[in-house]
Amino acid sequence: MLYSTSRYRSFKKIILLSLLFFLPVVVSLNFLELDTIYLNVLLGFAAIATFFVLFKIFIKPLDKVTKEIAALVASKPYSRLNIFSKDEFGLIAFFFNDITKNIEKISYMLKEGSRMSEELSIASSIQQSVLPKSIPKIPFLDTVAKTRSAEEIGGDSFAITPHNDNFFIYIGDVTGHGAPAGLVMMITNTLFEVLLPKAKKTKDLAASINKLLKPRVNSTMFMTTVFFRFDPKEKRMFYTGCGHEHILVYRADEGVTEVITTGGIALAMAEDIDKIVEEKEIKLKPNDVVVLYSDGITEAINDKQELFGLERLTACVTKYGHLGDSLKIFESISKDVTEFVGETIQNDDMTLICMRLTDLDFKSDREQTMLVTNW
Amino acid sequence: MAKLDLNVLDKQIASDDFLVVQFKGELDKTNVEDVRSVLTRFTSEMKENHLIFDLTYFNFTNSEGVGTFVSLFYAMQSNNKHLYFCTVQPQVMDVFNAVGLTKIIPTYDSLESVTSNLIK
Repeated sequence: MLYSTSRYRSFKKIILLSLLFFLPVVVSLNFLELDTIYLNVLLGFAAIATFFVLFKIFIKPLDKVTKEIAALVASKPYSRLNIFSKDEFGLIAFFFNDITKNIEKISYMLKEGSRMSEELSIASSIQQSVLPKSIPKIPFLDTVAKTRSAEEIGGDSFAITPHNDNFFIYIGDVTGHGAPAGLVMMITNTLFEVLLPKAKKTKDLAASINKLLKPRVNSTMFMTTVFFRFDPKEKRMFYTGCGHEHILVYRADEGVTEVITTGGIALAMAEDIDKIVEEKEIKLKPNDVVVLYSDGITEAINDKQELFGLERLTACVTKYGHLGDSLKIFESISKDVTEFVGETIQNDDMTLICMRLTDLDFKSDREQTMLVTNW
Repeated sequence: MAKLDLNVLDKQIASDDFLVVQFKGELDKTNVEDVRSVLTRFTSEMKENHLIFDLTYFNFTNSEGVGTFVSLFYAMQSNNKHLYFCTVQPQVMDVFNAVGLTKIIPTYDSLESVTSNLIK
């Protein structure tokens, strides 16, 4: 609402009313030739009337305004000013009421923001708690896995869980990022753990997770995933692709990297994926390295808006695959990604997993904890 | 912000039971909400039973764009309507194939192949 008033309106009022009261005195003095007693009485009335007018239109509203402004400045309870006159006090009251209304609105928003931030922080720690804190020691498979969210809550996920003498591993990436993606990630992670005891193959696991996930998520959301099953006795690795990024396999004998399309269909995209997905085997020899990643790595951008891309990532795997230790391979790839992006802020979650087939029953004492990398 | 123009192509024969929407540009998180809202309204108001997305000039989509197509596909399916893609650019086709989108939404090499299929 706009408020308008002419300048010095209250002063004009005072002068006008004073004239009105003193005019009879002046007139009486000059024309009626009243005696001193009458004159004094008239002057007295005029003075009282002037004081009353001054008090009514100047001192009282000024006191009211001062009192509320002082309360506001001192962060004490204040009330709205009910001055509706079309003078300076009306204008000050209008300004005071308007500004305090806005302050209350901003204060509410700050409180809400703080509450939401606290809730996000809680959600973030809940989400972190479902991700493995450390990587279980997998016989004959030297494994390192790390993830980093672009926001408080991420859409990337992975798990490594032993079951029936096998190790089941998955990496997943939900459409988008932030809280909605994080919720879908949490559902999938829970379903993975709950349904794993009933699964013999990764295909069964993928199909049963999808069946429960699909009706529970928004139709615009899905999760690209690839499930692995490693059999330490046979040293064989199997996978079922669900529309995830490529699987990179460093072939130690040849010193080359094979790029395998995961295939299948993303989770939550179709109601029944049983006939679409299938379990396949990746033939591995000792020192071959399987590298899994989320698109946050291949879509990492630098200050020239260039993508890190699959080609660069594949070149990294070829360059570092011979290092003979998953942690060294992981750190070298991570360093290359970090150098590529420089100071450019990344908008997507990043996950990277390196798994190297070894000749030995892997019994290193190294504590493979979940460290957030500097991507 | 990514730019995407959507043009409804004129019908060759008025009695055809399909519409063709040509995509020109890119779809990513910066424009996905706007595009989703426009397409959802368009598909709910269209009288024809078949909708073809001509992607000849559609250069990029991210996973959120794919999510929009999936959502439209199921919304149309629940109203007994059908969605098709044609002439998908290789870089977009890679994304569609990777997530398995082409396993649920029929995809054709050319506009003629999909329309001739519908006219039959």
